[in-house]
Amino acid sequence: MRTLERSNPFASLVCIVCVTLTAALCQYPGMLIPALLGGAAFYSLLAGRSGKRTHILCALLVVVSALVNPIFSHNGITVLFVLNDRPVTLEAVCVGLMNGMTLAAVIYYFGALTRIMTSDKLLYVFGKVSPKSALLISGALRFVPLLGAKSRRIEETQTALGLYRKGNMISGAKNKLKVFSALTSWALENGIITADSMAARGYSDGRRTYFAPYPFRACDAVWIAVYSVSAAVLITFSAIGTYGFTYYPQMVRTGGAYSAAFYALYAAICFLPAAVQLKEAARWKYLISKT
Amino acid sequence: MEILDIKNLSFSYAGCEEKALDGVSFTVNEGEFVALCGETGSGKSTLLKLLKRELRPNGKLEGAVLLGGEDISSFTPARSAREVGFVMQHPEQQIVCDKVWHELAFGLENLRVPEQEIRRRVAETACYFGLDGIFKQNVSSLSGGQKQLLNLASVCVMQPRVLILDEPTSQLDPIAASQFIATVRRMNRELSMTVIICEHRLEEVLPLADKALVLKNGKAAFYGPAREAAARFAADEKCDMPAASRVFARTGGDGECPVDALEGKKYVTQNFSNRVRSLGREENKRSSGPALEFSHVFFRYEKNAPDALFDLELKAYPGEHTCILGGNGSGKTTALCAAVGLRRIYDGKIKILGKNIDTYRNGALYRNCVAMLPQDVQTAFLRMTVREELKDSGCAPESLPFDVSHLLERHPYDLSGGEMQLVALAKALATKPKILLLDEPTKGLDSGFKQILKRIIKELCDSGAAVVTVTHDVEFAAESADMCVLLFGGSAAACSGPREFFGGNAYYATTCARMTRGYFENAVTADDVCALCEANGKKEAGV
Amino acid sequence: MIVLKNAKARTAIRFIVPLALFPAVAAASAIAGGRAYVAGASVCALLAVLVFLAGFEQKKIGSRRLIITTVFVALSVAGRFLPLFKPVTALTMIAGIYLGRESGFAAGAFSALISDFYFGFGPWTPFQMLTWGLIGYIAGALGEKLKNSTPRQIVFGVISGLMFSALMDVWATLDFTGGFTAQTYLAALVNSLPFTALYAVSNAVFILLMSRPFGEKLTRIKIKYGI
Repeated sequence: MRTLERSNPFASLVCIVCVTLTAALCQYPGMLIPALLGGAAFYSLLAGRSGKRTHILCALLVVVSALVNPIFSHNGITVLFVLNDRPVTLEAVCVGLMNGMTLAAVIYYFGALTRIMTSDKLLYVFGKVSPKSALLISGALRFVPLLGAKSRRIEETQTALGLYRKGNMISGAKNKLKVFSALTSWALENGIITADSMAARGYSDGRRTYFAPYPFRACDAVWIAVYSVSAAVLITFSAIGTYGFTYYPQMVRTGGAYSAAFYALYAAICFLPAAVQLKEAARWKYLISKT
Repeated sequence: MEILDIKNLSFSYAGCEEKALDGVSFTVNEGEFVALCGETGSGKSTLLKLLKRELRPNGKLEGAVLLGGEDISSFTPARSAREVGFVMQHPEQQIVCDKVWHELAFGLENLRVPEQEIRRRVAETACYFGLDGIFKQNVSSLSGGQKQLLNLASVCVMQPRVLILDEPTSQLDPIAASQFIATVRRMNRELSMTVIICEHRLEEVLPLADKALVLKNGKAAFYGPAREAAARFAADEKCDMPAASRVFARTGGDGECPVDALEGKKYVTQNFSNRVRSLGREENKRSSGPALEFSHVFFRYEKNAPDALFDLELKAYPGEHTCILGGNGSGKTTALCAAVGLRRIYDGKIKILGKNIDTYRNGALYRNCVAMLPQDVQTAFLRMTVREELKDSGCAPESLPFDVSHLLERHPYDLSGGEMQLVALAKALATKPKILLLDEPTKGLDSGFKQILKRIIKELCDSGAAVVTVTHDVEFAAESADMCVLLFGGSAAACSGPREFFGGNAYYATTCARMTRGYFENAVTADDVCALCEANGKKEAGV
Repeated sequence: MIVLKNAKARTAIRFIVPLALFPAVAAASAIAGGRAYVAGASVCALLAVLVFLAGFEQKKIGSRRLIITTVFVALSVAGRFLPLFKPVTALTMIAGIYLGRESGFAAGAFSALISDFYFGFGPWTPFQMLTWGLIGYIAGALGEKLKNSTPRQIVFGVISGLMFSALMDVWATLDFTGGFTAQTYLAALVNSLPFTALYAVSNAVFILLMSRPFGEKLTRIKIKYGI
């Protein structure tokens, strides 16, 4: 199987949305732990060392959420201690923990998605839906760094002409606003020429084709099928109560004997992206060791 | 076979009585390379824009442009895009998409070419233009030359029959410019694409052109073989003809007019003797210490990046015009930025008027001391009119050594490149700088504005200021510098007066220096060559 | 390509989704609680964005207007790095006023999308796109009423700043606590009050300082290039 990173962008998008949607809808400890771990593993494999801040953020989130929830929620029967005449319950702490873990898992998966969705792929997704939007996105992605560079140049020029002094916050903000205003003039004026260049190359409001270097392969269909079917099954059976978990007033597992199968299915789709990624890395190592 | 037929074309801009073009007629055959010449304001750009329907400006148009016998205003947008390709002056502004491959595909997407066909055409075009190495890159990571090449490629991917280029190399450095012109030439020769090009610097274009069209005040003053145009208009300084032709015209040559360095050399060696080989050297008039001094300066942009300035030694004296030359990435602009405190050096010393740059605090560096104009002078403007701009920097228009009074009510962005340079210069002079730093001031300027700029620099130097110019323009440096410095790899590789400097360089030299190399010594400008030719006198015919 | 052929159906959907469906989902989640509504609301937001974009795709705006819309998106994103000011709302409003509602929606929605491209995607992305898009759309619908009156623009800016905060707090509440209760929502609103206030004030100041120059600039471009 091809990694999500190298798959068709639609496949990457569908898989990640399915996993997070399921995690958000089915709040069971047995499912959140694989979601969190699978997400963390997948993200770490993609981000490497640069993901340190996200890990810290996620850890903080879980802790803070576990501490904050009991302050708002006093449901539950297992009272740990009493604070300001209000009971702090084990159940509320656990719900906070679960919420934090859900959010952390979502952050990991979407963090991975942000790494995977390069601008090309973002465009591909939108290009299929609406070519005009794709063009707009492409143009905006081109203008943003251009504007950044231009605003730095304007600041430097104004400094070198003795017209731009760093002072306190207010005058600093004023100066920045002036630069921003000049930037706007420039961007609009420039934009007209860009628009003319578009028209000169045959752009008009009618239909246009969209070219992108991402073919849709059988492998992508497999990714999409596996994830959408799994998510549908998991969410449906959770909704009709075939398997489940309640927190208030007491933490109890509900549902029948098949619960374990559902957990296993979910764990599988959580770890699959990381596993495929890992397999590919291992194959590289193997190929290099052979030569 | 005739491809373009321009019939009695006249045009006046909206809200303007005067005709920008007045009854221009000419025909172009398939596969011809036509150079368009004429001074600024002669209607070159207007004419080119009228040849491309989508770019026609607002105004009143008479006459017709026929392509293959049909009026271009009757074309569908798709047909128009397919038949006529247009490349504009600024490389940056024409690019629509953020990736190289997407930019190449853009035109084909508009034409609704099927995806599979786009794939093939984009691939072969990228290969032909040498863009395959940067195919997947972001456009923002490309150099100016690469961007302009990409613009050319993304027009040519639609395989137009006529290619129109409006000063495509004016924003590029000389090496990128030559590469660009060479590519255009190749397309013309190999694919028999019809080319119409307008350029300030005809030095490189005219020798390649089959025909030249010379415009004067919106009228066609001449249309015919390029060599004939060079011969007829070389005496006219404003037409910017190649140096060889100018020497030919001024020394009263007859016969075939030379258009490039090789022909120029033949002309000089065959017609003039070289008893007097060189003019006197520039004398040194220095009376005080340097105004700007770099000693052992090191700078890098990031901790692990290579040194952008490496043990740089540089001195600029008051009353002198110092020109810094060198290739891209040699540290020229970085050095200027360091001199105005925009870049902090990590080793060495920069002295401004004898004091270390770090001792200037609270903007003292920018009051009656140093001022810099960047390459992109538009960044100097923040207001809606020139008057407000000048008021902002406390500049009285009457006190300037040049006239900007006719520009006061205009929007800074509506000015031509030369006018913009003048207004920005006015802003810089408002701080009464003792050291004026200019980054590529001649970029995109025609010879008229270059003359004005030279005069202003001369006057500033005479009043005791030190002017330091970073430039790629060797002709400008040869004509106006007192001192030339060659920067290479962040340090100064050579430093001398312009005659010695360009006379001594074999490759980094002016056309005149190349033309007379080994025959005369230190003749670097057309004036020098003419003076030497005159001193030597004509050889007798047949000798 | 998403295109709804029937113009009436398009308009109907475009108003029903944000004005009826969205509050309905929010209300349902307020009553019933539970996480299902997080997902429901996200999907609704996404669908609403798509319906609006279909309108944008259909609208004939020409290359110049398209590029100006793009410039507004880029300026909004670049402007997020300004100190004190976050000009997205103001710029979206101006885009709506001068370029029409479809372009206003596109300017707002894509500003959100491109910002998230730099700051990270999340389930909140459709929410942000819809909220900012709506600000642009409504400004476009009000059009002439806003165009010549700076006070009205300031009121609009402040209200949309508040609206943005309120809507994003809905999302924060949904996601953080799993269920939506009036109590937690109120807590979230109170918590974010300083930011909301700062946001509203900075919007007002930004519009006060920038809306006229922006109008002048756009008018100049219109005259110079005859758009």
